[in-house]
Amino acid sequence: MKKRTRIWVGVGASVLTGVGLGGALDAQASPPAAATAASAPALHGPAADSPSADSHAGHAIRLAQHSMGGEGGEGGEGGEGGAASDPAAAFLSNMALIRGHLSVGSELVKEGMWDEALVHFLHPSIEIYADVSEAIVEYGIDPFGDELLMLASAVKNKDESQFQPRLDEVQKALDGALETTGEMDNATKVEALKAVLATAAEEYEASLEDGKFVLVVEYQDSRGFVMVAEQMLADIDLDEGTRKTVETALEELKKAWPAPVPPDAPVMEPGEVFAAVSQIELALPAE
Amino acid sequence: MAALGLSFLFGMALAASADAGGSALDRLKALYARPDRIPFPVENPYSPAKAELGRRLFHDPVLSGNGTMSCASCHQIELGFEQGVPLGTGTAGEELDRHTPTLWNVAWGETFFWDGRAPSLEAQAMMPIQSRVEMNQSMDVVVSDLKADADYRAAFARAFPENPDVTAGRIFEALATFERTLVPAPDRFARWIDGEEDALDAPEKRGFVLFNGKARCARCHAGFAFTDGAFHDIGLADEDDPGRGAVIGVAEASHAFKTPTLIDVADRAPYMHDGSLPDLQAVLDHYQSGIVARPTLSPDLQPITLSEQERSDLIAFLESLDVSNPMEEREIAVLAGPPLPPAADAEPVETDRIVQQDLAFMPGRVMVEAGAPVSVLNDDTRTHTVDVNDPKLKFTSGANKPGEKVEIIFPEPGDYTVVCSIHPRMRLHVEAR
Repeated sequence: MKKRTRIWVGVGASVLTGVGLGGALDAQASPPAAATAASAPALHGPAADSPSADSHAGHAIRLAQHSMGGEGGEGGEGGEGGAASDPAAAFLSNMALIRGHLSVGSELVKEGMWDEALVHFLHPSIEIYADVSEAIVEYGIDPFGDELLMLASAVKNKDESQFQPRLDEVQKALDGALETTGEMDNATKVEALKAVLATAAEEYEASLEDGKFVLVVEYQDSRGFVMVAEQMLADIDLDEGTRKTVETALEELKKAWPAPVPPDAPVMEPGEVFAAVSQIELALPAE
Repeated sequence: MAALGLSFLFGMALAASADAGGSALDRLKALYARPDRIPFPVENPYSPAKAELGRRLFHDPVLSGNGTMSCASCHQIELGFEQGVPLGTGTAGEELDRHTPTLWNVAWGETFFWDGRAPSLEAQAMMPIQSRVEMNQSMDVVVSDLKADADYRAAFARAFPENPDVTAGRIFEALATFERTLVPAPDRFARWIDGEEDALDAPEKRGFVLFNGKARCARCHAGFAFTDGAFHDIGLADEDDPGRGAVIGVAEASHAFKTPTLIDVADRAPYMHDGSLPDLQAVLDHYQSGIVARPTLSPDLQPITLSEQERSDLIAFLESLDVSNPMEEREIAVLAGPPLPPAADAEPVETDRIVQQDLAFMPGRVMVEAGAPVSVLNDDTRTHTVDVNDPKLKFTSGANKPGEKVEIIFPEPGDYTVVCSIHPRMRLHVEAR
């Protein structure tokens, strides 16, 4: 089992400081790891270049880094998670990962688990947003980094009155972003769905060590990703037989995540989760 | 896509053609990659001459009391090194108690026979030859006959140049060396794993996924050799055969037998240690609805439900594990090459508390105080044992059930290996100070 080191909390605080919300959170003296689309220098820029990148195994959907002059996945960043070979699919799947984080984070907030939820609201800001920032510029999408940070701030402050309005703002921004890009073709949607599910399987595997959930956040990440994958599936054109096969497999897959808090023992082994995702990959049309 | 800028489009288009990324299916396939080396033991290393001598002995009826039966009489290559009948037969034609096991990939075995009573292939080889109900031969006679044969004397001289005397021990070493070369040549499944996408068709690929997922086969038939090397009671109606339980004296391991490989499985009917299931359909029927419930049933065995389509796909996959031939000598020579640099051992953890969890000792390497008690808690869902077979310490715990704890004292400084005799791949390395 791979050992992974997380740096979320420290980085999260500094990120929020860096974009002018320092008053909202406990400020840390470190440079911003992500910023708005306008200031993000490269697709893999700030997060991958930061001193902490080597110890951080993230899960944004990335393209082949070696062919883009990137780090080649050697340092952990980019070495994990699914990959999409089509840039539009990579963008779409990263947007889905953001939604997945918000989805599972909202579940935890609903349970009153604000502290546990925070990481799921920070993560879209500090990692995934950087990965979509170039696409945001290229597509002409209104930046929504500030909205993500304001939402994280509300969670950090356990501010019930602000949480839902901030969440609604982010959801609206995400919807607006996809409206701006225009309707993606079916093959792109399929590839994005596959990438999100592969990432979910990898996160699930990473959450387990010797049969125990030792990395709860990864378990929750993967739950959120599968929840959003179900929504993605609904937006894909499939013949009736394929849809039924995929929906059945997805129902089977979802059994691995019975609740936002992991069970004492895994319902499914990682290999079984990979198999369930593979079943969906095989059933979906090839790109 | 219309809104995409040129730089974005071009930059990404290069990437798109360069790397398709890793899918879940790729990750699953990676679990079946074959190791880079065949593990020939240091005390009985490979040489082509020794393997050739073993091959000759394997096919020679001189090893049987009445001169009618060789190892190959029961381990027939065209039947996946099995016999094609429910139970094995001896020189007198009488049925044995169990089905003839395959020899594919035995190089990677930890224990041998269905109940694992032989700790090495060398030890295994001596038993059928001398068994009264099997080959019924005296090793003194075999040695004498081979010594009288000039060809064999020359073959032993080539195989054991430093000491060419014909002995029983060298006969077993030569047989074991030959058996370790029975590694399947890459066939369709292996080629698919290696990246030849069209080597399997769509139903076979779906079957592979079912094998790893819904059908839960991979829980025990794991990895490139399709076995976890462990002993499981799979609920066959074999009330009279205690299996592993009798060998290790643990009632909880009654009816448990070693997980067989599935390489070449379609050629190896009938199935199971008692040969009671005539074909693969019957095997699936058993796992879907034929399991006899009893306390010793393997916790890794869970009910499965498969549709007709899924059954068909799963069988298509199993049939794709077909093998034409073992590897040729030149390929074996490569795989028997110098051992790869060993992976760096984890630093031993100083502790007197060890846990059995998810088919592993945790930590796997410990430093303990000689003479002081060490506890081994079973925090798994399966029954384990805690066994040491070392000149400094012979220790058998009996059943260490889930939630139970075993105390063990390592009496003097030195290294020890602790194993679970039900799941022999579970190993704990102990450094006592």
